[in-house]
Amino acid sequence: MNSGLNDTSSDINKTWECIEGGIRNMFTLKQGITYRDFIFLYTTVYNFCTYTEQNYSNSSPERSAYFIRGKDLYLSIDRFLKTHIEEKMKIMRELSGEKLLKYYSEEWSHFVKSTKTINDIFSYLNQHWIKRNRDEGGDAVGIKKLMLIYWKQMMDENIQASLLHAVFDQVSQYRNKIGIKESLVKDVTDSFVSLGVERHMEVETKDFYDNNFEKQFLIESRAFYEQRNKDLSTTGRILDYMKAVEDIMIRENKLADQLLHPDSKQKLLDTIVTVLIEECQESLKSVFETLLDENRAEELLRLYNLLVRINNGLTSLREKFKQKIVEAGTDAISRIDKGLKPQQLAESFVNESLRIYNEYSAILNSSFYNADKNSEDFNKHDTGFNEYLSKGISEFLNSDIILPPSNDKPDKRKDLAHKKAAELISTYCDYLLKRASKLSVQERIDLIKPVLNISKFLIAKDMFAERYRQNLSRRLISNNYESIEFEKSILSLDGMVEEKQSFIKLDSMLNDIQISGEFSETLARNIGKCGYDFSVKILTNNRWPLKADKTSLKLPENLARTWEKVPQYYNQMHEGRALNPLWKHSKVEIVPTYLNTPIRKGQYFTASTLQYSVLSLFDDKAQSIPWEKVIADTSRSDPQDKQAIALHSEVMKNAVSVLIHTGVILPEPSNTKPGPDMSLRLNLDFKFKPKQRHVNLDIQLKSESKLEDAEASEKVEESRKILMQAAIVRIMKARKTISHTDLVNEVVTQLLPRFAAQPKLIKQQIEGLIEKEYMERAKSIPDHYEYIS
Amino acid sequence: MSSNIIKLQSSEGSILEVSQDVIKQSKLIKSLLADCDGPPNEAIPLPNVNGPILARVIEFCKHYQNDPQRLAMNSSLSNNKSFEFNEEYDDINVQRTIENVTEWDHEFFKVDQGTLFDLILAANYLGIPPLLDLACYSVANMMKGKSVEEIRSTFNIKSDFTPEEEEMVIRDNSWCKDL
Repeated sequence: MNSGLNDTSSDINKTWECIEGGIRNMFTLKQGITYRDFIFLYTTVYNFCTYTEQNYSNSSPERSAYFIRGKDLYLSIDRFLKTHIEEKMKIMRELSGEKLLKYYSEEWSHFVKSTKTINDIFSYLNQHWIKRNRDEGGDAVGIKKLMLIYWKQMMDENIQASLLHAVFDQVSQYRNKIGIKESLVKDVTDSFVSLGVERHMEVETKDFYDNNFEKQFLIESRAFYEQRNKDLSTTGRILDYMKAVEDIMIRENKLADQLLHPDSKQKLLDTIVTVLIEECQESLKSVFETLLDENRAEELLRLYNLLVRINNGLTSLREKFKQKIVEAGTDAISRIDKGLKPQQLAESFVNESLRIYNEYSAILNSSFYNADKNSEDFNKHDTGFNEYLSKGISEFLNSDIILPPSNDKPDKRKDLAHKKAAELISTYCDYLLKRASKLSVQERIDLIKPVLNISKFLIAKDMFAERYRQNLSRRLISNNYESIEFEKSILSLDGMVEEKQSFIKLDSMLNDIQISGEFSETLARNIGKCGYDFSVKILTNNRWPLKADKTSLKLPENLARTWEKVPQYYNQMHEGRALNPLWKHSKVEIVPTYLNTPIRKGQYFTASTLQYSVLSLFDDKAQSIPWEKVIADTSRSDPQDKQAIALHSEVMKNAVSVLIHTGVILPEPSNTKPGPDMSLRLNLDFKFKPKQRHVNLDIQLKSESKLEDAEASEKVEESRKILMQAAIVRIMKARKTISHTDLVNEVVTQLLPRFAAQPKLIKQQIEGLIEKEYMERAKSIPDHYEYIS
Repeated sequence: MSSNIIKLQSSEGSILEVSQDVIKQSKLIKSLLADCDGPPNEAIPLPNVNGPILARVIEFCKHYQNDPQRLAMNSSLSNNKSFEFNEEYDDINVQRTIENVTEWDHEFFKVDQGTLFDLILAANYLGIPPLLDLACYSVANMMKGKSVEEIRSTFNIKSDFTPEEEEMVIRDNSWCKDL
């Protein structure tokens, strides 16, 4: 064999004869080549290329050191491949449709395999003669590439049109839900991708596939779906159409995965989205409201997932969604009886708002998310709809329908409405947090979480914070709280206190109470017996929404003895700290032994210290004490100090009013209000109601709670002024010169997280700051301000 | 693993068994195994390589089978995505092979001239670039520092220049005497 090979090596004709036979066999038998045949062909090529003449003459061109054999062999294989591939294509030219696809697919699969084998057989030629030829600027190409170039050229010339036609026929069948042979089509698209070879380009590109296949494919796809029946005249038809389009999108997705190059998928889907969704978006959008009204989650989800694919497909839907929320919310709130007591009003307001919020959150959760399992964002909720949900809730929650009709100016009325909403929500929180509530701790936490969640939609957040503080303060000083830990756990809930500053204030209130408990214990041990239990709460000034007493109460003897020791003892522990008593807020528990009907064990009154001072004036239980004496005996002020006495009298009036109201004290003459020319007498016939253990004499009168409302409002207004001024100065410092409109707008924007600033009030603050010479009106530009540094 | 062992048949017909992992350093065998369907137990005929040389080639491949540096070079080859010459062995690799000649390599190539030339031919035929480079390097070393006459006698080459031609070549290349 060895010698046989040697004989042929010198001669191109004999060499080629060997090789052609082998390759032809490979092409016709369409089966794998054996080791023996492979080695035979490889060795034939190798020997031809490495052959050197033994007896060359001096003039022989082969003597050149640069001469490499191979040109004859290259020309022969080139000619052979060209002819062979052309023959194949000519056979296929006679075929069409599925037959053509089948033949092409088979031929192509075999061809791909043989390109590699033949390339390997000719690897010596590739690495030497062909490489050298190319290095020297020739246009020889590697054998594998050569084969692909001829395939591409011949396919293009002979069968490309009918091949594409056959492929598109199959795709149309698939779209008409008739089964097809995906693998045949896939082989064709694969071959187009593989044929991205050019004789003079080193790298492969996808251009051939893009230009000769994909372009046409997209045109065909568009045409196919343009012919689809698009009668969308009724809602029923639109719903059916949506389902059909959804189905098409899924099927086309699958088609792209199975038949096309990955890059074509998005282009195909975009084409279909344009034809089937974008061009009928108005009809599709028209059913949104109906679906929303009828709460058809599945169809809404479908509609959402179709329209999310097009630009601006959802804007009007989101707007409509918000509008629906506002309508539903406004309707619900307007039905609430505005004459309800504050607590019931708050409860109805919160529950109705929560109901609307939950209803539309549920729609958001069930219908406005990405339902495409193949997408990276699968299950991701739509942020746009979420934003419009918030907008809608905020709009009705803060609207003025909760207010009774009034003649206030619109801006003022709006502001009142914002504050009212904040107040109602904080009132409801207070109701849930009071110890008197019959709910368990966990039940209360579960109830308060959603309430705090909707409190985020309040505009007057500062009002909510102030009200919460006021309520917390009341709960703490009247021992009407569950536990300090519970209150602290509420503070840490999401949405509770967004600002660090107000959080610290609330937290330190809780700390005061905690420390006071410990102080009271050591105090009691240190000052000895006094005949009753007592405790003190030491509250840090300014952290509590409380005002110091305007009156100087004269304590009854028994209390005064104990109280005197408190500041002494406290000063031993904390030198230099002043204690101011808040008698109005301190409480006394009294066992009334003077009543005609003997009380049972454990029955008692709770009174404020002010009230106790009045009650303790009665040395004789049948006594009648004139008002002037009551005032004089309960005050430490100089009787000549008219102003102090008047103030004291004012405070005592309130305390006594409640005593009369509860029936513990009888006025003389009856039905008179506390004041000059009347006397007080104990009601000895007062009776506890059956089963009643304790009577609270220190109830809050309506007039007093109104006073508290006014105080909160005033406090909020004061802090708003400061915030507005700070914002104005901050902006002026940064901008130096700014127009009035821009300044107002920027202040509003900056303060929006806390409250909605009214332009009128901002203007007032600007004027104030001009007066104080922080800024001035610009002389050269009208309606502008300049910063004075 | 028995299936991993293949049979190679030398030019005179002797059979040598070798692990696929070893002999895949030959590009010829590697592509043959990828392209052919067998039959699996049939010996692969190598008409251009005789038994003793084939044994030495296998010895070389065995030695370098697990050499990390050599493996790194092989993998850099297969990463080369150039379309036509995807198994190209570039100059950088030649450089690296020569820079890393080992004691073992020196010992391996301490052979007579005939064997050395046969090894070169076998490495070229089987497509084992490191073996080819090292063998050629050995030949180059044999010429280093020798005069024309010495080289001619070393390699048993008859001068085929006429005296006039020789005169001309010497004159044209006179500059290299100073080197």
